[in-house]
Amino acid sequence: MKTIRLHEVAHARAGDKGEDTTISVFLYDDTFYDQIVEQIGAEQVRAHFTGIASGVVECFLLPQLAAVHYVIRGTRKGGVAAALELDAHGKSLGWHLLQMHVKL
Amino acid sequence: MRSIRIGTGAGYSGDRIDAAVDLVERGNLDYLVLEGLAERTTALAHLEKREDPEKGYGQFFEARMYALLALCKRKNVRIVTNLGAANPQAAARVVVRVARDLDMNGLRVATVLGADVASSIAKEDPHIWETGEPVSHSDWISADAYLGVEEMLPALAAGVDVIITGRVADPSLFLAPMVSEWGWSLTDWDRLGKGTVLAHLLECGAQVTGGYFADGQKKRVDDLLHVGMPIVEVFENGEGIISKTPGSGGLVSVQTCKEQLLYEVMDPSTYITPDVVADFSNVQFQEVAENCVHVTGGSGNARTDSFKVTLGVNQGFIGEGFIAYAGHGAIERAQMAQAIVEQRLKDAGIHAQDMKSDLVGMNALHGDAAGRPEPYEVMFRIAARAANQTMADRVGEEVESLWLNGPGGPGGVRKYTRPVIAAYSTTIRRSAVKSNVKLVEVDER
Repeated sequence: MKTIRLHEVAHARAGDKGEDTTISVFLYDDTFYDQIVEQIGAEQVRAHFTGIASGVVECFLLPQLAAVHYVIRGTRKGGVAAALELDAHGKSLGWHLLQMHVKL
Repeated sequence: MRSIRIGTGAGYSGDRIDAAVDLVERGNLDYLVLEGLAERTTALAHLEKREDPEKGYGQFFEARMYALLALCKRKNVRIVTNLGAANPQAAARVVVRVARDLDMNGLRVATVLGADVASSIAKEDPHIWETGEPVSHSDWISADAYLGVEEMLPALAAGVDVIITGRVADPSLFLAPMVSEWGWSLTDWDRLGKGTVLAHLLECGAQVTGGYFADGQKKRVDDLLHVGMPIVEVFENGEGIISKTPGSGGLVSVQTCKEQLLYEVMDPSTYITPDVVADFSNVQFQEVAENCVHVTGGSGNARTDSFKVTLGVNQGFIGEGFIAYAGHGAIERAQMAQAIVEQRLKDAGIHAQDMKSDLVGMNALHGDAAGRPEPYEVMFRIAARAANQTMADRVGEEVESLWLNGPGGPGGVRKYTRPVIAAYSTTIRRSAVKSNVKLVEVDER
């Protein structure tokens, strides 16, 4: 078993929704689905977003798409228009999630 | 098997007009949807309308009509757009003007009115979702309900060439032609849910055809330069096939469809629109030909008894400044600049919690992390909220003054100030919203 970055086995897309960010993660090869999913649960993702998100993380499993969908609360106070961040939409944050380490 | 073909000619207000022209030229479409209202765009449009009653429609609307109106008429493609923004009637007059200028006769336009619910919101004073406070406690500018298919149907039934709405839910722009053509019942939640899945896949234009996807590594997309706009071929049972402008660049694959299915979705089993509570959680994709993906498995449940309303709320100004450094010690010099400007703005009365500063190249997008390589060039950036423009301007001015007063070797100063109009949400009872459809015809002069 070795430690790799999530982007080596998955792709992702981030979306902005008011003050929150949604990120969906998709495994390139669904045979690793269960093994990866247990390492990127809501709590692990919340920890990875410390300093970026102030709220909780919700997690939805869509195994038929080899996907995990996250709603990450409190990433953009006031939403896109009022956000002080350079990336007001948070569209770059999918790539942040893909920096997570997983064991495979 | 009979089908209807709907294409996306714009997925946001500034989307590529030449790609829309290619789509109509080669897409064999029945309907062209132009979506161009981000959440706060309607608030800005209301402000424009207050200044000039003939303004307040979407950005680039006139240019889009010049590029597409005659072409769509020739190809028998009907246009559906929310670019009416705060003023669909003024947008209809733009269409009439453009049609006359192009010597087009007999063109028929319908507007869908009633999304502006400011007077009802003032009366009912509901709570804002994000802040928990009553609307009346905020400095609000505008309130627009997300109307849906039901409000649009009379316009489709009238068989007009162009349908112009203000705020409607983005998926409804696509679902309305499906419901109208196939005669689906407005309580056929299963088909409405399936149609909403297809609509959601299409609503952001090229995001399902390789845009916002390509990474040059594992996710390879051919000819992103000429990325094509998406097309959905919809069948009576609510299933559909996603493709793109024939001969265009880009990619429609199971991967691009999966990514777009969940884009900006909260709970995938509960996607709430004015038309239906759609369930995306069992959707499946199958590639049936090159750049053609078959979509199945969507469903839906009964719609809610209220409309979501987007509020434009004044929140002062944001000032922003950038200054770049390169070469040896670039990071140290940028950090010196950061410390100086932060302290100067604090001294001027801006609170730390209303400020954010970063080193672009280091930590602006994803924050700090150990073990990253140091960049050769780095840009210090700071943004801060302020109640008035003078104080917001101060942010950029303090960055600019680093030219003479800050660390050595600065380059590329930029400064901006912008008004902040936050887009907040609330709800309103369906019965408090009165919509109607108006028809306009372009007569011979």
